[in-house]
Amino acid sequence: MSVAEREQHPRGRGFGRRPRRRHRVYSPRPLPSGPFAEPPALGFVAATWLVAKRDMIATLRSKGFIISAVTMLVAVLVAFVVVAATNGSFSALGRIGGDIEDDVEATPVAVVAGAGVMGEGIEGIALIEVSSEDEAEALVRSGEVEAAVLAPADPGRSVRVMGDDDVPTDLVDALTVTPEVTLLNPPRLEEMARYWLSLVFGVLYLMMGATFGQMIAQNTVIEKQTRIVEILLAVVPARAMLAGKILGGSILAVGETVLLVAASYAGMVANHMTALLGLLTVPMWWYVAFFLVGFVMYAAMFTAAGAMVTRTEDLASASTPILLLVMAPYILVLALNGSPTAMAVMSFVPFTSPVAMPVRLVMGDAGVWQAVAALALLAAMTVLLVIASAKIYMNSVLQMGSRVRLGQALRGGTHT
Amino acid sequence: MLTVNGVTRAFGTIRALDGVTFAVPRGQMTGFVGANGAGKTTAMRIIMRVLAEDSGAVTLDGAPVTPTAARRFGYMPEERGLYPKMSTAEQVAYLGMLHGLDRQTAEGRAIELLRLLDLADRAYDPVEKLSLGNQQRAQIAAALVHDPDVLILDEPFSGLDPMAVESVMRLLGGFAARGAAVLFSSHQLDLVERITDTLVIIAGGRILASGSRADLIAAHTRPRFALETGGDLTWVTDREEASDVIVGPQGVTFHADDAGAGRILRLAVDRGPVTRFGPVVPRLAEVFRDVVGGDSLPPSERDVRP
Repeated sequence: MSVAEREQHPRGRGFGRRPRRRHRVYSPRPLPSGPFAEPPALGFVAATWLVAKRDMIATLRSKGFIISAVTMLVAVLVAFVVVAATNGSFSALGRIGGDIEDDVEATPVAVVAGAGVMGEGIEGIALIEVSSEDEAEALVRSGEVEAAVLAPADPGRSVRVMGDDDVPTDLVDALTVTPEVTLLNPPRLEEMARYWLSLVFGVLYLMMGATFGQMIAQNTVIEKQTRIVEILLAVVPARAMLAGKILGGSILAVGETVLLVAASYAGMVANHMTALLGLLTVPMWWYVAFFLVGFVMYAAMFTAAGAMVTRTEDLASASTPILLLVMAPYILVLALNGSPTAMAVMSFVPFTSPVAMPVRLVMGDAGVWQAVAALALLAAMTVLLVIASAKIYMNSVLQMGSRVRLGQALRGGTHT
Repeated sequence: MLTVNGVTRAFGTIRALDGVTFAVPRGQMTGFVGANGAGKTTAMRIIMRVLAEDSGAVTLDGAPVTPTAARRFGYMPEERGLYPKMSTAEQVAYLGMLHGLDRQTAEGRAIELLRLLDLADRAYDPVEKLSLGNQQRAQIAAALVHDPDVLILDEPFSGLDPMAVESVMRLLGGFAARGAAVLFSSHQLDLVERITDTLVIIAGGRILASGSRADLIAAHTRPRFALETGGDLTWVTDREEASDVIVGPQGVTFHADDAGAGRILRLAVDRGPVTRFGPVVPRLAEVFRDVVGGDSLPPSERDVRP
């Protein structure tokens, strides 16, 4: 037993025994003696990574984060179970995922020879030819086939269908003759799809941006409130602190987004939504790319907001404007997704493009070059806002007391 | 040697520091004393480069202290701060790693420092579960983990029990003995008196006195003598050799030159047996009172004990 292990449980006996915490026991090292050594150098990148790692570990250990992350994952999975269960009637997703049963085993149906129908196969239905009505009935009764198609009772009338205990809907649908219909004002079939996509992308963006953005701002205020920031800034440059906070928060936010997207992907694969998959796969990863850049922008702004106040109670008022920016794509895209012009504009505006552009990509309204251009615009905006946030952070994070005003934080000049 | 040279800093219209100049020699403990709001914390923050001076300079061994150079210093700010939910050992090690130590070294030193500060049994508890005194020790460990050769400590002894004071003193003394420059502020003048070799006294943003403790005491106190006999001693008040006479329950103390003190002793012996006679070792509180003016001291520090 090492010294550290022995010292670790001094109150291991008697009452007041505490549950053992799981932690790594450090093995002690003697302090240096003799002359002081040259200081070891820690580069900017290494410092940034250390800060990011600490923030991530602290977040991953917090109960609130674990609960919200698990809830969101479960919500996505539940959504797919619901979609699967209600597929036929689920309007929009059902429609664009119309051939949902593509790969499902075809329904076996017996056909009496000479029934005179269906020389060609029907999608989703496997025909088994039988010689008599009796043979067909036996197969239906035994459950070997779902239903049987019998010859018309009188020539000139339609074929008859025999089922076991319920109406074989698939077959009846397949046999029904649909008249050609011409609509003078055809409804846009994708309208619902557009709505649902905007909703899903918008909500995901809002939740991720708000949750992780607030978390970053919170961490920043706590550092300021507990004054550890003074010790930290005596050790690492403020730029490394800010970069580490942005990096740590972004890795977590993007990581969870990727996880959710992957869960959705798995859900679609499991539900055989091949058509939907074909439509969504590429735009989903575009969404992740937009989110990655967009979140860095928000992370920088949230860090700056956190640095401007000294108490967590004051954080809400400082971060409200940024929260509104996070909500903007959700509200605007959801409200205006019917207007192609508005969508086109929003898909290039840096604050709304992370939601609007992926929706347009899904609907085939925008090409790759447009997505690249919008992403470049977003990246440029992100660079500008990161520079401004760095300025605010460095000018405010050591100013204790009342909230630092924005103009003052941007002009600054109190810190070296 | 760390030197602060003519440093001035204003916050708005308030002059927090006004031409502050002093030196912190290596291999010694330097005490930084002054009333609340005198400018100690501002000076320390400027030395650490977390605050910029308006004019003046801070140098270490002749070279200007850049923010990069100051990163090497060990710093304990006035406002204590550690992550409340992180374990003590973990964050001391984290700070060590930010200073460029590899993980094993940082963790090993963290646990060793906590052991030397009698905090090993709480090392893996989150900081928020520690008492204030224990948080204070954790804070000291955080300032020392990277083996700094310059220590800037704002009130390192406040809130510590006498045993903790001893272990912190031993630890800091070890750093000084190896050649570190140690600057610490404190309001506990008797403690400062006991452990410092050099003193800096600040008031209203100006350095009123600085130098070796012995020199300061010699310069700012007058020789005093204590006399105790069985009988009444109020007659000393009337002697012209003695001035500033204080009559206490045990006897008297007075200021006089050596010859005058000898005459008074002879008079006392003539009147009866003398139980005690000797020079009063001046206390730092007196120096402080002389330099700063008694009004800025709390009453307990103003007592002049024979």
